[in-house]
Amino acid sequence: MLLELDHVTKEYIRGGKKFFALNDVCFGIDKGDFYTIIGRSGSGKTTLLTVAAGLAAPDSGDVVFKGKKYSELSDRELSAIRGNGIGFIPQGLGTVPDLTVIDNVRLPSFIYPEKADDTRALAILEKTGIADLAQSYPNELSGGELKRVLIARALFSQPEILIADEPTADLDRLTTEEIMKLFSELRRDGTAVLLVTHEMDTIAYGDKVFTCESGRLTEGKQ
Amino acid sequence: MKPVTSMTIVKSSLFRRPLRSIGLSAVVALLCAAIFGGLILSSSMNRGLDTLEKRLGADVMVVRYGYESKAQGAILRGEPTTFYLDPGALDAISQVEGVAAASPQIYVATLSAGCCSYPLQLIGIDPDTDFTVTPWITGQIKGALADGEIVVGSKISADVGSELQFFKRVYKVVGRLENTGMGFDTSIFMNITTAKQAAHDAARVSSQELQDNDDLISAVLVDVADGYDVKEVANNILRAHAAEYHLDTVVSDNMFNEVSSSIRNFTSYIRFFEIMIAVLTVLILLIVFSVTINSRRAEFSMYRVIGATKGRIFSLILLESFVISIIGAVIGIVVMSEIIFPFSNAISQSIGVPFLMPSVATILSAVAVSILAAVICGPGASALCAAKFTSKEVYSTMREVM
Repeated sequence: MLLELDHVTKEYIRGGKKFFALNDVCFGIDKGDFYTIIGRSGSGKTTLLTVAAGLAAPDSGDVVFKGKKYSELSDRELSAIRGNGIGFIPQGLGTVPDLTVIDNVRLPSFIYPEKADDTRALAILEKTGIADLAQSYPNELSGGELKRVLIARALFSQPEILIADEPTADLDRLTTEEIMKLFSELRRDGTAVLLVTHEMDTIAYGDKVFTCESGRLTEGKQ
Repeated sequence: MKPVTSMTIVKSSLFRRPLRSIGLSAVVALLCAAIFGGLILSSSMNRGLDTLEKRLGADVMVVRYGYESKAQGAILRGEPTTFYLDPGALDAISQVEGVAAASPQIYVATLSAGCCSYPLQLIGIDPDTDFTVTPWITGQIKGALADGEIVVGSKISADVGSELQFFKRVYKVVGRLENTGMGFDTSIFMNITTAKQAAHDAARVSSQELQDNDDLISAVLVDVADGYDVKEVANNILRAHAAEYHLDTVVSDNMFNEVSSSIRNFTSYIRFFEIMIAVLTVLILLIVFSVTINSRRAEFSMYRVIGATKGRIFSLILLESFVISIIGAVIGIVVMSEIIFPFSNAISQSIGVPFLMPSVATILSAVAVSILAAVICGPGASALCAAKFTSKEVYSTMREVM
């Protein structure tokens, strides 16, 4: 298994009361899998993705990437997994405002210089349809264009798994289709794709669909 | 394409946010200017005091009663004055117990000279007995000062070989002294014979009567013998001859103590000012960097998302604040240099203590200390903020900014 969540629980306090963002979640995804997670707002979908990406630690249970438990890794080792194994597309807009689009896409090479590959960066910009914006700054882009920059940056690292939190939320129908086709291509190349979405049209691109409700994850569309 | 490096990111951040960068640099510049200025001022005054002690060279200066403050003004601040002493006092003082050497000097104030738009102090020394000025004049000229020859202080604009005219008499400049930070810088030295002539010329011009003999003197400089207390010897001189010759004494220790006490007071004000500025600056830097880093939480969280370690985020924040601090430090030092160096004379006069520019090594040390303070305070403040930021879970920071 490429990535596995084993009885993962994550609690938060809201309004002075504890609630389960993740409640005993067991889940696994392997190379080339394309899974979609749906659920109402506040059901724990984003928490699940961030725990899976090693951006938040579970209160109990284990997250295992290629046999390595996150809880047993140092910050350097876990960061290396995020940088090399996982491509994370956050829900919010996460670009460096002072760098151009092309530099934002190439940003992982700042942390891992061995990843530097300008040709690949330009090819990804072409693929995501923002090649003409390469020298623009984030504040000059629309929400949809910014989303594509984040997707392009996640792809630049050639991750083994792409974890995307509502990647097509701000995109029009045509662009959504293009992006979903791109994800499908990736999975054909062996990249696992784990997607949270509210758009039912995008479910069709995946192999399986999971539903998140009150921190519990169940297979199928509820 | 140029690779994306830490410096690329820092440069983009600085140039794309000029107001933020200028603001941060200005705060660091203020800190650096205060430290650099304080160091230069205090070391200048201390150097002035050291030179003063070395250059005067006498333990006691005996002058006519009532001229004590004028003598001090001439030596410390270069305030030209003319005064005379009963010449018989020289032999009498030489006989007092504890006096190892006594040498006469003549002090004559000029009206004006070709070199300067202000009066100067002429000081005549006796080359045969002098133990105060001769040792440091010797390095400037070959042999003893001949009649009609003069050595000028560092602030008098006359080249060696040129001529100056006082009271319609021409003198040849044979030497130029190093800067002392005291009245000697605006004084002119000549042998006692030449000085007597100048004194007579001065009296003639101002229509004053002056005794016409060879024993004209203004002061007697006394070197106290080893094992004797300077103040006691000064008192002995006064007890034995004050009434007869109308004497007063200036004890060099007292004079220097007064000056060094002024310097100590002034340097303690500077230290206090420096510490206040440093504390304020660190507090301001802490607040400003904290606000800046807080406003960039989304950006720094994003670096974590793409695989940056806590250490990498830390070093990126430190690098940016380091660059800002270096820029601020250079600005602070340059601005303070533009204030201190051209206006050193004005500063010296306004604080009323000798002021001598420090050596290049001291200036370089002050530059190094100021830059060090800047690179400790700036990145130090940002390191505290960065530590707070990186101690949080990435997702919790992301949730705050999303």
